[in-house]
Formats: sequence, structure tokens, C-alpha cells
Amino acid sequence: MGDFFNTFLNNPIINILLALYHIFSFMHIPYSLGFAIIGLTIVIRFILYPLTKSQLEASAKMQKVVPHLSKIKEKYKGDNTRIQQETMRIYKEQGINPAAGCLPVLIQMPLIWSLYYVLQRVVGFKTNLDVSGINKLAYFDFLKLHHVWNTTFFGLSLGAMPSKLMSSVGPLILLVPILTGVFQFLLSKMMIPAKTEVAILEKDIEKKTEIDKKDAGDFASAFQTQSMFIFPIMIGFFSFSFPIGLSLYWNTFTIFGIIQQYKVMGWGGLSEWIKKK
Amino acid sequence: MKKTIILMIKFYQTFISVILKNILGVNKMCRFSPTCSEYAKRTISKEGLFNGVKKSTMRILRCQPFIEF
Repeated sequence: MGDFFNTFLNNPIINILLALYHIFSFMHIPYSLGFAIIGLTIVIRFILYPLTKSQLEASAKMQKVVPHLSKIKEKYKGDNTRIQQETMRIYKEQGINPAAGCLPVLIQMPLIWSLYYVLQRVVGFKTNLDVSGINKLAYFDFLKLHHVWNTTFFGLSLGAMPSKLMSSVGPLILLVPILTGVFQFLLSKMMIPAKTEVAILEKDIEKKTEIDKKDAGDFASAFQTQSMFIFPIMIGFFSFSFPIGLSLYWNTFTIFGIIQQYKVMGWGGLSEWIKKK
Repeated sequence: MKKTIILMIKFYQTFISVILKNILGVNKMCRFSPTCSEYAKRTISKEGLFNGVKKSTMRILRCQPFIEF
């Protein structure tokens, strides 16, 4: 299993990173490794783009038919096959492609994980031993490293954690976890549909939530609604104790996600704040 | 055993699922209703561990582009 991941995920990712690093250093761009990490994340996000885009679109449409679905559930209570049939009919009417399913979403997980795994290894580079280790994985000779790469990015070591840098850089380093949390929050907020849409839905949904609440405990539903706040704080805390190179990856990932979300669904829950300005 | 599995599913529903949705930026990703995890919880408690796991696994495997539902 480990071999499988190395051959099909980790090693290709390492090679893309090496290629980007060589391109950037050839162009004499400073902090090549940092920009290579940003570039790598964007490359991966573009590879995933068709998957996430179709998923986002389907998810937006599905949210619109939630009221219809709850009516159906009420109407044919207990008759599960009928509910399934009616659901399918509505999906077809609304042009929702049920062919996608959840597999495209799950496929993304190993890639995201692999990116994390590779970067976590790569940002800690110090010795020639590390270099010969990564050179063994290079597909072509020109991708090989000739010396240990510079792991600093605008004066910060990509392999260092903000928690360790507190004494040398000072409280300013807290900007890294704070920004990471803020970007994550913006994305989570955008994911929630805008208020106007919600208002229309709410009346119909009320019935549905009554049914749902019986199943879900109070704590579970609280976590669900609060996740918009809890998750960014969690991510911020992670970025405080993880190497800066990983925060660089995660923020690129999130910002790409924000742009993607905007392109497909607009500002969503953020629109109420934007209009006020 | 049955109780442990159901507890694990509940843990998944409360934490993992919410975190996954946040990471991937999707709100609603299910084609089935009730969701697979909810379905698994119900069938396992109703029909026992073996049947429940079998049915739920089949259901998760059906959730993909190559099979019409």
C-alpha cells in the first residue's frame, strides 16, 4: 500500500515540485522553493478543478431542491423506494447530474494528503543526505538537485513552526496562523448560501428540520452550525504548530478554493458583508 | 460491537463529515437520502451488524459515476 502511494502519488508530486523549483531558480526568482510550493498547489488544484467544479454546481442545485425533497419525504413517508424514485425525477427535472456521486470528492482526499506528506518531508531539508534521497526519486537527470535548496521564504524558514519562531521573530509571526484562519473562515462563510435564498428555503425546510432533529443530537447540530467558526480556529491552531511551508500550501489551497467558489456560486454567505461596504 | 460501530458512525457524522465538507468546500454531496452514514446507522441497528455493514457497503459502492441509481 505504501509503495502504491509512493509510485502513483508522492513521487509524481515530488517531481512536479522539482521541475517548478528548477524553472523558478532558472528564472532567478528568489525564494524559489516557496514559490514552487505555491505553484505545485495551484497545479494540483487545477487538476482537481473539473471534479470540484461539477461537485460545486451539483451541490448548489441540490440545495435549491431541498424543499421539494422534504415535501416528498413527508408525502411518501416509509416508502423508501418511492422516495428514491421521486428524488431522481426531481434531479432529472432540475438538470442535476446524479451520475457524479461522492466518488469524485473522495478521490481528492489522497491527493490532498499526499501533497501534505511530500511538503512536510521537503521543507525540513538540511543535509546532503536529504538531497541524495530526493535525487533518487527524480525521473530525469535534469530534475536532480545539485545542492541543498534554500528553504527560506521572505526571511522565514519554511521548515520552522510559528510556535518556535515566537522568540526570534516576535508576535508578528502570529499573523501566519491568524491569516490562515481568516482565509479558511472566508471560504466557510462563502459556502453558506446567501440570506435571500435561505429565507425562501427556510419556511419549507422548517418541517424537514423537525424530522432531522429527532435523529441528530443537540451537540451534533450545534457543531454543524458552529463549524464555520470552529474549523478556522482549528486550522489556525494547526498552522501555529506546523512548518510554515505547510501553511503556505494550505493558504494557496484555500485562496484557490475561494476563487473557485466565487466563480461557480458567487459570494454566497459573504455577500451580505460585501454589500454593506 | 454493534454499539461501538454505531458510536463510530456518530463520531464520523458529527466531526469528520463536517471537517471534510469544510476542507473540500462542498455543502451537500449526497445523491442518496438518507445519507450513507445515516443509512448505515439505521440498518446496523435494525438488521444487525453483518447485514447492515453489507448493505451499507453496497450502497457506498453504488455512489459513483459508472452506476445509475
